[in-house]
Amino acid sequence: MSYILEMRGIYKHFGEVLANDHVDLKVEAGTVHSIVGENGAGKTTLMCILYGLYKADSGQIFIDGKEVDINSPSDAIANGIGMIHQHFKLIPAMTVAENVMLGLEPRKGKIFLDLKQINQQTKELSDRYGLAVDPKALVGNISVGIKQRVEILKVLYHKANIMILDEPTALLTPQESEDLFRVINHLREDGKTILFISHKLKEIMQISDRITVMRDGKIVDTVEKRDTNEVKLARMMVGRDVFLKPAPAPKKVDGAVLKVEDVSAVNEFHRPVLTDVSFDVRSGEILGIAGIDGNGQTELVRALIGLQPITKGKITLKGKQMDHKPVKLIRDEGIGVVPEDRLMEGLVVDFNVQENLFLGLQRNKPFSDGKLISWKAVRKNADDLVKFFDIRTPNNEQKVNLLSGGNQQKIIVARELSHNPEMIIAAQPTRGLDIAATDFVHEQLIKQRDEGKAILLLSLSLDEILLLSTRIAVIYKGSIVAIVNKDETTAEDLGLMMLGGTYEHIPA
Amino acid sequence: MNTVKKFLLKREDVFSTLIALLIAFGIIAILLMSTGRPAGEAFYYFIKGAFGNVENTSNTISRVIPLTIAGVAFLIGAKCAVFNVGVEGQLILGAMASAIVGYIVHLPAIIHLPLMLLAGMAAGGLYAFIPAWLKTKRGVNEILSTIMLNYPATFFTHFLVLKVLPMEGVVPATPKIDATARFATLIEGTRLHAGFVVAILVVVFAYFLLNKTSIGYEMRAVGANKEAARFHGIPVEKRMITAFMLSGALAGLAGAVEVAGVHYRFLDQFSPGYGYDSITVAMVGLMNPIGVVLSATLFGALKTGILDMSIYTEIPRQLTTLINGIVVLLIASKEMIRSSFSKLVRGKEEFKQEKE
Amino acid sequence: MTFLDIIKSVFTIALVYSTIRISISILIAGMGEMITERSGVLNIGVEGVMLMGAWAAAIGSYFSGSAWIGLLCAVGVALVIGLIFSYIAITLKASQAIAGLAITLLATGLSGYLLQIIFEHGGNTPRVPTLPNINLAFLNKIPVLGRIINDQSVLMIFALLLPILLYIIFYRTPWGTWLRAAGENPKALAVVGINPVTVRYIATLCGAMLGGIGGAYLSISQTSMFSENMVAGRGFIALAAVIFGNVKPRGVFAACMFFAFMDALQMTLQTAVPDNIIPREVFQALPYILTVVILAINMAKGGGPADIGNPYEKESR
Repeated sequence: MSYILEMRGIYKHFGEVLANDHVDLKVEAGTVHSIVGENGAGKTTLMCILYGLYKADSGQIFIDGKEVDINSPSDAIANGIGMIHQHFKLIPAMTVAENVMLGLEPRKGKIFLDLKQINQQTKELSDRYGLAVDPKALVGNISVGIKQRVEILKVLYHKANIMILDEPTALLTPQESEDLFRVINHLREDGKTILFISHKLKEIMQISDRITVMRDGKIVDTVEKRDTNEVKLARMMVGRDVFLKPAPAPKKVDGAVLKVEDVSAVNEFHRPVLTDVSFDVRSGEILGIAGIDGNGQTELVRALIGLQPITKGKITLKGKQMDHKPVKLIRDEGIGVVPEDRLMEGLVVDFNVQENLFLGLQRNKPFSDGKLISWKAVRKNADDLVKFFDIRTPNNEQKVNLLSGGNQQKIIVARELSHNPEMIIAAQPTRGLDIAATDFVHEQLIKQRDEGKAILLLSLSLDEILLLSTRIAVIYKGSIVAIVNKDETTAEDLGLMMLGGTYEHIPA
Repeated sequence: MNTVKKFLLKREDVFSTLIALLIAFGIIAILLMSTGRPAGEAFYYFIKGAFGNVENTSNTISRVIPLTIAGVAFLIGAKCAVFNVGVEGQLILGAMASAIVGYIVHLPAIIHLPLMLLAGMAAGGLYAFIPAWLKTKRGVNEILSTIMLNYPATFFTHFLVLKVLPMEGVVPATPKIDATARFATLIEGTRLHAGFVVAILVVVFAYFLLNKTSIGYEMRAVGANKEAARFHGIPVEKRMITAFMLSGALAGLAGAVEVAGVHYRFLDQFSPGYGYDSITVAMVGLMNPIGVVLSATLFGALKTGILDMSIYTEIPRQLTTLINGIVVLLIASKEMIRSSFSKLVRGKEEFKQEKE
Repeated sequence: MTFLDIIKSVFTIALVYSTIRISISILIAGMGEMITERSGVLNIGVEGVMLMGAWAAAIGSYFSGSAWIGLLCAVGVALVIGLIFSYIAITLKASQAIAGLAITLLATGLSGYLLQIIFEHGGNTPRVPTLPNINLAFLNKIPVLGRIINDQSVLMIFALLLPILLYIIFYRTPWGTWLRAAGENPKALAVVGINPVTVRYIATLCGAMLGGIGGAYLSISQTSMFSENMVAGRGFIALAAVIFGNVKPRGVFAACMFFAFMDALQMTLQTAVPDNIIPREVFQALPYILTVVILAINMAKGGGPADIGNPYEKESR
């Protein structure tokens, strides 16, 4: 068997994170080869290495059995590799044809653009693959689905034989996805090789010939589509050995602290990001929100603290209405938030430790009488918290950008717990942390739970959700598709629901 | 050795600024020599001109006053993510407003002087509201809008002086302000005036505002990380508007102080670019009120010293602007200087450790 | 004087002549700034580049005796200034605004300083040789055109051809496409194998070169000497025209002509009619005020290059 593409021993790390650990991948010509895995499994990194956007620390790439050196996108293009990026690399102010031809424009007499050819070649290419794209339309005015076709055209124009599609359906509607699959089939019939990156199992089963599953930067297995099914794939994707001990059961669960009823919201492009979300979080429990990245988790947190305007619904905290209120007022009612983006939302990295330890509380007692800051109180607060939470810093006037990720997260956790809120929202609280720091955050959350706080935990790691939650809600495309008790579910069940499957109990 | 290294690295920004200044003056020295001007002699006359006697020192300080106030004006904006290049225009309008109040209204000094200063602040602050509104509500880059708005301010005051207000004599200027609206001269025969106190108050105010008040903390948080500020309930746009108008008000105050202490009237084109200098002053002062005083002193001395120097040494007075330009260029490239400095310090240390 | 008389005495062929005469420097410099901005770099230092160009042209012309060599000097000096700016703004990724301001400060100081060093006195240079003016006999036979074109600087031809040339380059050649792509979305350019940094460097240098020529026009064509600060805000007017014209050849051309017309009108009004009808300061302030208004309207709908002012960051994690 000959392979059009072979990647051998690809190894790549970013700082302390190992993104690709000796990855071997073989792809047959004229097939749709899917690469699946959870967020952070290393799929995109692998593809960026193939396309020359990242440089692998070590490893070899063979095209048609010949070893090639790919250091830049130009090298990739020269070797017949094209990539359709998840975030389109298009120029809205230019026409479809101009975008397709960018960098390789047909010329008239070496100097001038051959405008006729530009439009005509685009049209021909579009017709040949049934893409139905108007070459003269401005990219800024076309829909997301059509934009993707422009990216495909671009790659075809560069005469790519191997086409990488990085999570191509992430931004598409179901109808647009169906159209895309028709196009992909068309391309396969034409002899192109497709590398299809996704974590949506249904579509992978629909479109692939072979499937490679990645987890934690390693390849788990490569299988033929006919030999597998969604359940098996889900197990391979999420079914890692659970080596952490699950949290002890909650001591006493009381009434609801936070109630969310039928909340909907739209983004700046008026697309729905939250649809009729309802749940409550009770005192003494941890409600975990499980879901694949980009299914509305970010917007949910922002809606709860008043940063994301809601179009419909009610949010109450201890019976008090909280929606359509300013952020500061909501936070002061007693919500502590560990935001998902530590450096952008959680901290002011140019501020020092003690300044960060009262961020958001700069008008609250004891730090301020509303006008003047009491640095004495700030210093005392910092001394106490640094000691209590064991924050490793040379002194309290150290800028936090010089601290490790774990200590930065400790600062956020310490601050958010320090004003004793009854409701705690923890979004990706352990992302990027080492084991010790992760344990610390988990311990604190369980401790708060046992003190009768209501905790909402959002995590992309199903392990973490299963480890800590009392109940688990699954979010998919901005809706809560199920709320189940932790004891009555399995990783596979949840995995399926997170990936858009319907709920059915699968015996483990 | 370790403590020295730590000290050097902790004060990285100070040292890299000093290095930038040194390089700038090195370039100037080379330029002087290559154009046949003795750098050593020039330096002697420069120091003598800036600080040589009571009169010169007083004149230097009289320049430090507007530079300090304008520098703080720029700093207050920059601390809150507002890059107010419009200090010049706001300063000019402030001077005009205060001059009008100074000569039209007649009041006892205890009211008149504060009132004319307030008029200056109001004019500068209100003029700054235009770019502030444009930035927060329409997303207009404030650097472009404030640059553009400096010109109408100049033309408007020019128009008032020449065509609306009465003129005494041939100099394009407003009538002189009442004695009740003037700062006392501190040293007879020099330009050093009581506006000195205002400058000190402004510095203390800025320090106090930024470091001791909740709103100052919020402004700094907005300047350092808008997203985080918003996430923690700080009204980002409101704080930016406040900072912008405060910056404009202080710029206006700088203009008013020049009127009340030096010219006693609005003199057309009285500002030798104090507003543009304010950017250099604040940047070299490391965006710190105390730093601004030091850097304003440096640039005030440059202005006075070089003027004096140019009389004795045939070195053109345009050297001042030239130094400003080179300093800003180097400060803009400070990141490179900082990283080389940091590498140098660390590298040396490691080298030493290996030898031991 | 009736209203009609005023109109007649103001709107003359001479007004058209002086509009074009005034437009030449801001047109050339504005076109240059347009190239720079199209590539995603905002050079606020046009004023400074023009000033250095004007200075170098006069000095070169004085010492060589040839205005053409003066023009060449202007180009050379402008390129050096442009290179300094590019290095700081593009390679070091420093704030483009600060770098631009620094360039203007530097140019103001340096040109004044060197003027005094060379001629031992400040203010202005002695008279220097100038570029030839257009003087074609056959044009005089054509009634209106002759009076408008003859006696204009040869640079007028360059200035008026420039927008057409740039229109062709922008929209009819691959390089123009790449230039626009660098300003809209440099990453889109990088993924097809063209380095946006190179494109931005070239665009900034072209812009500086034209800024230098625009400045040179002032000292070796419109007048015959360099005097301190002779650019007098024209760089900022050019900057304003680029914004006003949406960073597009036709728009910037129209904006430059409009601003020049306003200036010419103001000067004509001063001599033709009693001044106090509309003060000249209104005309002088107009370009800046209009630009701020345009900024306010435009920013919402996004007229200029999408990525302007941002340093290009390579794809990385």
